[in-house]
Amino acid sequence: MLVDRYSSAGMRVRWSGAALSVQLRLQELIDALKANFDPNQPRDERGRWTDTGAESSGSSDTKLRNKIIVEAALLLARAAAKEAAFGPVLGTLLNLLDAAQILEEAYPYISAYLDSPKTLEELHAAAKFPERGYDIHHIVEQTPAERDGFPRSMIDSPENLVRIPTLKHWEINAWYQTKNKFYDFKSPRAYLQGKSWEERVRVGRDAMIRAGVLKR
Amino acid sequence: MSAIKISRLTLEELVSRYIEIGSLQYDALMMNEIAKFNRLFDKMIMVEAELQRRDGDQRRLLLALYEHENPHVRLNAIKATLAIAPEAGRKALEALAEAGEGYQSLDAGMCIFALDDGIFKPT
Repeated sequence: MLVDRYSSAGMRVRWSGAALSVQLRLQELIDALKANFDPNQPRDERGRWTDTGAESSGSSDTKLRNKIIVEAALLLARAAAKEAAFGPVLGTLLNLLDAAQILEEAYPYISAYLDSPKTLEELHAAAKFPERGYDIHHIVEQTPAERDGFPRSMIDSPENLVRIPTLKHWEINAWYQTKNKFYDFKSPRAYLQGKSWEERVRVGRDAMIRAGVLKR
Repeated sequence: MSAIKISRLTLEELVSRYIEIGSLQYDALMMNEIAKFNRLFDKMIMVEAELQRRDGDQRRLLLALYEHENPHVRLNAIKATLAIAPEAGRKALEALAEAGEGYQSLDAGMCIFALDDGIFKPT
């Protein structure tokens, strides 16, 4: 069905146009990054640039560079995912990786983003092995659950922990925080306040399925 | 923009404003600006309510946005028109859920679950 949708000449033209705009935006990002790049600047444990080596930084330059990395990694990951689905339309875009200093920063995240969905058992097992490009994700969000009185033993239990691609984790986190019509115009996080553990697990698993992380 | 100002906009201006809000939401997500996204959501709801209030429920004008290039504009338009075009809206949601658009595909997929579970009853 998906391939059919994109197989018409009209859709191919539209997709090529979209690819070009992604490519132009990416080139802007790479230029911005190169303009103030210091490979010796300290990084935190997640590989992000810092001014002092500490996790957070007050420098606007540092924040800007980290934002650029995030945006470029997301653009590349989504473009690469589409290329995998629709054919080599974006080959030239991905070739930019070779020329860009962004490679070292973005590659593990992009590579992880392209993972195919896994079973719950596989995601649980992987949680024991942290790896760059991946985050440990709580299926039931930890802070709201703790606020509602669920014990840490449940929140941090192996059944609630999975390892998922960092960029997918960010998408899921953003989704939990943003207002939504189908949750009474509240964010899913606000909607789930006061709900049972089982209801939270159901939403958490559904979100992982729809994010392409968990097999149906 | 206040409710009074919105009530003075033409239909064309309302749709333009709707597209602008969706595009700004897309950018806000990209930069992880959640508070900004949520403020824009409230504005989007005001524009949708105004379109619904106009003679003949002018939310149908949003059907043309199903093919908009910005996936967040597409997502908003689909969800806004599910009550007036349930079949077309469902099809468009399914396509967006499979389109690899990150947040927008995730939300489209969750919307399908919410419809099927009866949590979401579009009005």
